[in-house]
Amino acid sequence: MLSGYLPMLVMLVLATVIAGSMVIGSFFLGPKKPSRFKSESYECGMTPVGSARERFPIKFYLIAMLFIIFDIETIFLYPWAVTFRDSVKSVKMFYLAEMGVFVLILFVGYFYILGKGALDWDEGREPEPVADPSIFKPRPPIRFGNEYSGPIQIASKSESGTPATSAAAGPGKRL
Amino acid sequence: MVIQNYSLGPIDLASIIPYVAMGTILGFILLIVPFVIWFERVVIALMQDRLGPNRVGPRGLLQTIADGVKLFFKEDLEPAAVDRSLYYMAPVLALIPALAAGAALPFASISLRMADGSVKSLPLVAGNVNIGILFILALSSLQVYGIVLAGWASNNKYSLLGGLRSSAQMISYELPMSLAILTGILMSGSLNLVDVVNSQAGSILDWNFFKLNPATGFFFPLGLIAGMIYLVAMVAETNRAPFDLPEAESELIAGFHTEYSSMKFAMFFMGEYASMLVVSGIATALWFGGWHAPFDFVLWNWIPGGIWFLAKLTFFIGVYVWLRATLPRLRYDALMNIGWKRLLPLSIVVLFAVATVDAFFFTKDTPAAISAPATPPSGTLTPMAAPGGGQ
Amino acid sequence: MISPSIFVFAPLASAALFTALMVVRSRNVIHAGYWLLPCLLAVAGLFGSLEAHFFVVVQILIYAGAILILILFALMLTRDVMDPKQRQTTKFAPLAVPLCIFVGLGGALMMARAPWPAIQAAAPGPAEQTKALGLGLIGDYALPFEVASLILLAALIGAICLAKAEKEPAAPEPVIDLRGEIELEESVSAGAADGH
Repeated sequence: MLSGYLPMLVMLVLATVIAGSMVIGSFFLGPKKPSRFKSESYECGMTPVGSARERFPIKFYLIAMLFIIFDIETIFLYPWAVTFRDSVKSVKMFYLAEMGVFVLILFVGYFYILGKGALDWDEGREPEPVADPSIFKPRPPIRFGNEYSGPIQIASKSESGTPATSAAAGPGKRL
Repeated sequence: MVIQNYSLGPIDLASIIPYVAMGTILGFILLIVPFVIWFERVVIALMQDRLGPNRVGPRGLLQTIADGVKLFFKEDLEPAAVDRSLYYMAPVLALIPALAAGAALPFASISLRMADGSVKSLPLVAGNVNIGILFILALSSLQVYGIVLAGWASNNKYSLLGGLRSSAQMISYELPMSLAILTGILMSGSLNLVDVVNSQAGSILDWNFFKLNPATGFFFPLGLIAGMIYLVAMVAETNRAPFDLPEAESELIAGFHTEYSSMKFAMFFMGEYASMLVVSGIATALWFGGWHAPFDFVLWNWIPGGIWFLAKLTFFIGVYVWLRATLPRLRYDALMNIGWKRLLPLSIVVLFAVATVDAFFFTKDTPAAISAPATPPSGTLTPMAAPGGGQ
Repeated sequence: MISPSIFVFAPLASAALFTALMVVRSRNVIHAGYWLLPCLLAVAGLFGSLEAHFFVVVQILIYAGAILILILFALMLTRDVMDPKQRQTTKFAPLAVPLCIFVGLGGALMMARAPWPAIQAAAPGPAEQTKALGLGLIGDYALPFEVASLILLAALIGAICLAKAEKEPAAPEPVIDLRGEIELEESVSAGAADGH
């Protein structure tokens, strides 16, 4: 029975040999000219600051825990699926219901963690701003202070004629 | 196309087929990776309206091979801060599962004329074992170690962040992936990938992705949904765009392999492309009929199954490249939300929908099936198979 | 008396023992965590030599693929991964030697005296094994199976309670609308330009 696994084992060994020989090969083939600056940790060319082994959010730990639980659930489903497919109709309903209960209980837990916000990764973020229609209105062009003199009065109709002439005169006035 | 079963003493062709398949798939993965990289670069260049590699060899075909040779002779830098043994282990661990997972992947089928004149159809697969798909799942769950290890051993902030992101991403998408695979298995009724492929023989309507043949199974939109879940999870599992957060160039430089140089750097690349090929191969075998032609058409039946498999594989690699050229990178919270809040519940619901449809409409009440008892006598259980201590 | 299976068992068992020893001996906790990987894989190999195919996969998927990740995350959460000065043994270390000998000898004695049942037949193939396991889970052992889901539920809730401390909802930060400011600045600079 195990003989069917022999080619897979050989392949695993071959993969290991290939991967190992690549590392060893590049270790011996390449030149070695180490220098202090070369062997610094890469931090965009700056001198590295502090240790890289910082602590990280506990969120990742939580994800790993949740993964174990759902992975166990999935692995339970595999023998069920194989058995289920070859069963007769009378017991199939029973099998379906049984696995339904199993998964339903876990789904209760799933909705619990969902409600607890364990799966929210954006809790530090501001909520997406609701589209404010005013930001889509045309806004006055950006000014650099040298093309217009005079008190700023955006969208005032009384001076509609003057800005063009004064803007043209602006640079000359500055120079 | 029937091949005579040549024999040489006690060894005949049928008995060395697993080794032939093993050599073929290992050689294929190792040799095709440079060309996949070339293909990706050329296609992306076309999509971005530029030339891409065009100097080494015809149409730049040998560019990646030249790069590989160059990388072998580049200085093997070892930053002072790294954890030496783990730093050298990481690329090895990243490459082994990717290469070895191909062992359970059936990619063609050949017909042999045996000594007594009968014709036997044999699948080309290194390990034609009954838990093949579980073997691949187990190996792909080990894929994460190379990346986490690289991230931690490099002692670099970008690397650590990349490794962490990657590990959380890979384990998050492993759940929908294995549930989607389970759905495919439920539709085909076997854990053996060869049986799964053979259950999809016929036409495109028999493929698990569509599956709308009323005679054998009608799971139409369900297979499509589960297949799409698999495809999304497969892209995320291989850390490819738009899920390439572990190596996000614009924020993490290169993520977990920032500190790697020379061939060790190339090994991470090889591992990534090898696992792309393997998961695309699983998608082909599980959802798209493996080596079977899309239509039972006289002229097409002359084309060997391996060519069909290769064509489907090329299609998936093309989809990978297309995705990379088209979609921007996801934000991390969006990535996690898709995995945990969308794909996971959806894949469980689809699994049960398939089981329900199967129970109501496609139960074969054959006498053989009836003889299988609902509650077996405990004698049929082996001690190892019985939960709770095997009492 | 020696069966050929010893040539499979012995390397795997000694690999498992050696790597387990390295887990304990490593001064760097991350190294210790990584030594667990070959250890768990060697145990999976032992399952394989017993032809318990499904359990090989479970061992790799759950232990090597999931639980070890959790352990590594926990280790990476610790601040000092390595302290060469720290003693690895306590003052009770010498006691361990006679204890190990005692337990080892006792175990060997028990195993030698135990009435081992003869192996009747070859183990069923992987497909039959998986099917038998499935039948057992939903047949004979249906109730333990459903209870297992309750245990998983408890673990789920426990995980949340461990990792997610109740936090006060942070007061919303005042939203600063910069649009008005920009116009103000514009008018100021325009006013300054006007002054020239």
